[in-house]
Amino acid sequence: MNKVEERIPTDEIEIATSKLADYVVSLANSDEEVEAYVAYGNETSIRVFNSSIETLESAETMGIGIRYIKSGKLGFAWSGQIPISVSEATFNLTCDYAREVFKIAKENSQYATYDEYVFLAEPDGIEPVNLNLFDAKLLEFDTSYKINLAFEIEKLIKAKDKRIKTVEQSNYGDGLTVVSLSSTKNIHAVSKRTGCYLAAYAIAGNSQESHTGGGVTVARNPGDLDPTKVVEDAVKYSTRMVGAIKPKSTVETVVFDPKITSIFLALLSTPFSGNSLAKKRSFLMDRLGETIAAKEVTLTDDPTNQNAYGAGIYDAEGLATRKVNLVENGKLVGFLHSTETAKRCKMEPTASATRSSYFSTPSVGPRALYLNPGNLTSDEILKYVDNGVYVQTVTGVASGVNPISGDFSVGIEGLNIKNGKLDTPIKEATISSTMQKMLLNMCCIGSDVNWLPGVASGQTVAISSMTVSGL
Amino acid sequence: MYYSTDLKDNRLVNLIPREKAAEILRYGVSLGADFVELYAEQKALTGISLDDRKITELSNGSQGGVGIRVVKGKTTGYAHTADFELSSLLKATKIASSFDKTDDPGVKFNIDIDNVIGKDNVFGIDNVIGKDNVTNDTKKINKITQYKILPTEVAKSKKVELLNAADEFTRNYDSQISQVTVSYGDSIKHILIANSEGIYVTDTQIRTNFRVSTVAFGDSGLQTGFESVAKTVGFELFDEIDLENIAKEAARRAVIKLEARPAPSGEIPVILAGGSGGILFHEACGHGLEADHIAKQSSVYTDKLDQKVGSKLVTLIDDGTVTNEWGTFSIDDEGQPASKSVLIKDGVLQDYMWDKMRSNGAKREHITGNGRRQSYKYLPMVRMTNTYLLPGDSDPQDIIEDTNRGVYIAQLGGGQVNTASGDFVFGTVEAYMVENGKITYPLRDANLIGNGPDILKKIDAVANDFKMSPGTCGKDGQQVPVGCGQATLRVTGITLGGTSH
Repeated sequence: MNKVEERIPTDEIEIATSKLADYVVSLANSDEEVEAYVAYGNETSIRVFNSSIETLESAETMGIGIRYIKSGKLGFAWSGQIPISVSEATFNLTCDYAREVFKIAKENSQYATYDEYVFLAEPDGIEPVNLNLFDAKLLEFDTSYKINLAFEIEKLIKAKDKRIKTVEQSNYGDGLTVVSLSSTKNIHAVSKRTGCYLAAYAIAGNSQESHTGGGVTVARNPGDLDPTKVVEDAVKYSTRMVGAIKPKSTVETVVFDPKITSIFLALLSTPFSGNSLAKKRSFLMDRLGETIAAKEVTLTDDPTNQNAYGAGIYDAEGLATRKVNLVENGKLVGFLHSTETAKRCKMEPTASATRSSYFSTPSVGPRALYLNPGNLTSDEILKYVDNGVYVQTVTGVASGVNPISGDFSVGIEGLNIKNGKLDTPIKEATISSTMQKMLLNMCCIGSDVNWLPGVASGQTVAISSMTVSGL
Repeated sequence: MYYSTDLKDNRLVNLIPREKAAEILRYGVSLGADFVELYAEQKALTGISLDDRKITELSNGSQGGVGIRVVKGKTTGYAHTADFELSSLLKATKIASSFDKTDDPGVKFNIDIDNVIGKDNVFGIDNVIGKDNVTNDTKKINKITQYKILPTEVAKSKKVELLNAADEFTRNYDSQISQVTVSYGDSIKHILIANSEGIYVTDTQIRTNFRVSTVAFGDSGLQTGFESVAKTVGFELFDEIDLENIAKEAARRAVIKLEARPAPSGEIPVILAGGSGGILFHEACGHGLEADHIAKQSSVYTDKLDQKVGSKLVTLIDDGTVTNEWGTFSIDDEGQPASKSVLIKDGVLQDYMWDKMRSNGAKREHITGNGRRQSYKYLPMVRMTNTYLLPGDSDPQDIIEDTNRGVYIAQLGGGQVNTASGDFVFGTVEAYMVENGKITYPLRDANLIGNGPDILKKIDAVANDFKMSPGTCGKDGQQVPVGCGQATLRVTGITLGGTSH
């Protein structure tokens, strides 16, 4: 298998993106605020099925997003058609395209409504932490090594349990990202990161039924991936569902698998967002200092933690990230803020601006939510709960969770908990409550911290008084 | 070369003329490919948002590039570039084919690159504004979409006015409306597809959407509502719709829910209003009828052709040709004409949905035109277009009156399905309790959960009030616009995930 990439050296990309961002900022007059966000990405993804490579994708992308503000009016424009230029000769051409984008952003600003809170962030004296998010080793692995990882897990999953019918997908993917952010407010933030994953979805069952179960591992270079965990999880989560039935409707204590807790925390971040607060769309408004959760709950967002998947040096406005306390022993102590939402709410900024990429403007959100671990292991939590429902899969999160009203209703698959142990599997059921009640009813928080892909870590958590709907 | 915001004209045939396309395809074949395809795209988008009484953002974006697909044996390679220069396209072709061919015979393809040069085999050039289609020499492709007003020809200030007007209508509806957000979006997309089987086609797709979201604040807390409209049309969308009505619907839904009680928990008869989302079929069987899931045996509908999979009231269609609907197009993203496929007829499974790879793999004559992709950065796969249930002849009011105790759902949210188990969920956005044949009180949002093959058999009434509605379908990380349609219908029992006992 050949090594396919002819990669441009990463340090040259850093210089090129940073030069381009600075060039755009230099177009601003003294009464204009301008910010340029330049993102470069290089990705590989491999999918294996039935001992053949099904697809092998390779992508190199670059784009720019420009925010322009004059007299409290914002305009935005972006383009994914900026040539990747690392030589002086082509840099001028790249600047020509960027200037076109700048012109449109400027034109668009005149249609916005004046808003006194619209301005760009200024460095606030907090120094960026030193995180190792870029691992040059990623670039040393050739494609055949990556393909073999995907082949290997498919083979091992199929061999591990005779109830495995097929492995629907066995995937490897990696990426290198470089982001340069510059603005007229003296922001110059350049960051780079690498990441890779290995994931598989197994289907277990018999001639009558099929159940899926997945496993995933993430790292900054392929050598640090944990294929054994993918195999064990895919087999465990799929095979233990064989024979699942629809449960009776009841009210139970529910125990979340760590990955479900991670999903729940990510949903919970909406009411903690300064944007929801500023626009009066949060059920937590006017409740600062009050008890909103069980006393076991201490929740932070800490992107400066190297272990967190979402760790980052800068936020999407180019400010140094920092640890933000949201809930302390059940009391609401803070919200996530960008500079804009902080000013609107007359609170301190927390460098919590996020953006999906160059094609969108910043919004507010978490990067690395983390629940302070409790003393109990997952097995001890099952013993403590004694009888209830263990949730290993949730579906319909987008349609069944309303982070404004707090209504929470999702489809689940999982296992009954009987006499302190996992028992028979259940499917085609829902659990429901409100986010407000769930926070107050979090009765156990596990000691088993899992750094999962996404914006929140996961651990085993028990929540009392959830409605389980089935028959 | 790269940058163009004015996409009034489809310039893809100039950027990639036939000879250039043929050269790239020939190069791919010379590298050992069984099949090579070039998908080029240029797209311009406008987005406007209003939040908290202010126009917070007007944005324009542009993207474009070429994706090269190379099939060798059982493996598909893919690479893309934002550069239309020949050297970059040849490099992408090389990257896409940089894997060894295995001994396994893969899917069979014809090779006929000379036909790419053939003069008559073109479609849709200059068709941006209402011109007739050009046909190719082998089959006639009907021009499905007709656009009247190109979004780029409309002043930005005129678009902004729409948002302000909708905000005003919404706030005037009720003093309990505490927050309103309005969004407007339009896009022009040109696509060109050429492949080693001899296709060289191009098309233009224009889409426009508008959405009003509301928050109401009352003694019971915060509640939300929304209403949206989305069509494969230009700015003429706003001549066809009643803005005030959309705004008021969004407001009404949030306000009425301030009085809502918790939804019931457990199995209950459910009536879905006509046009309430149609997502039931999209999730209960739509995804399970996509040929890629069938080929991988990851669908409960595998090996069920000609078998009864639903009640006799179920006749399900997937149709990319419904005039100007959200999931409509003239050609799919593999260059195949859109078509109308009967998937289930009177409860009996007739066919699956197909893309080129799966269709050739199954040695089918007819490709259903379901090969779609989010953009040139993605491989195409089997996707739905507009999926709908044919109406029946019941009166919707009779269905309600005939229901002793149940839930009436006026509007649905999104959903999700596990195609392997067939279990699916979908959420309510506006729902009511039905008692003794009458709609009584509103219910808070909840999800419903069911098993596809089981629920299709439990449909015992379908009315005559058919309506379509737009949605966005996500699969393997790719989003595409789709339509859903249905008349009022009843499912005799489905689990509702409320909290009331």
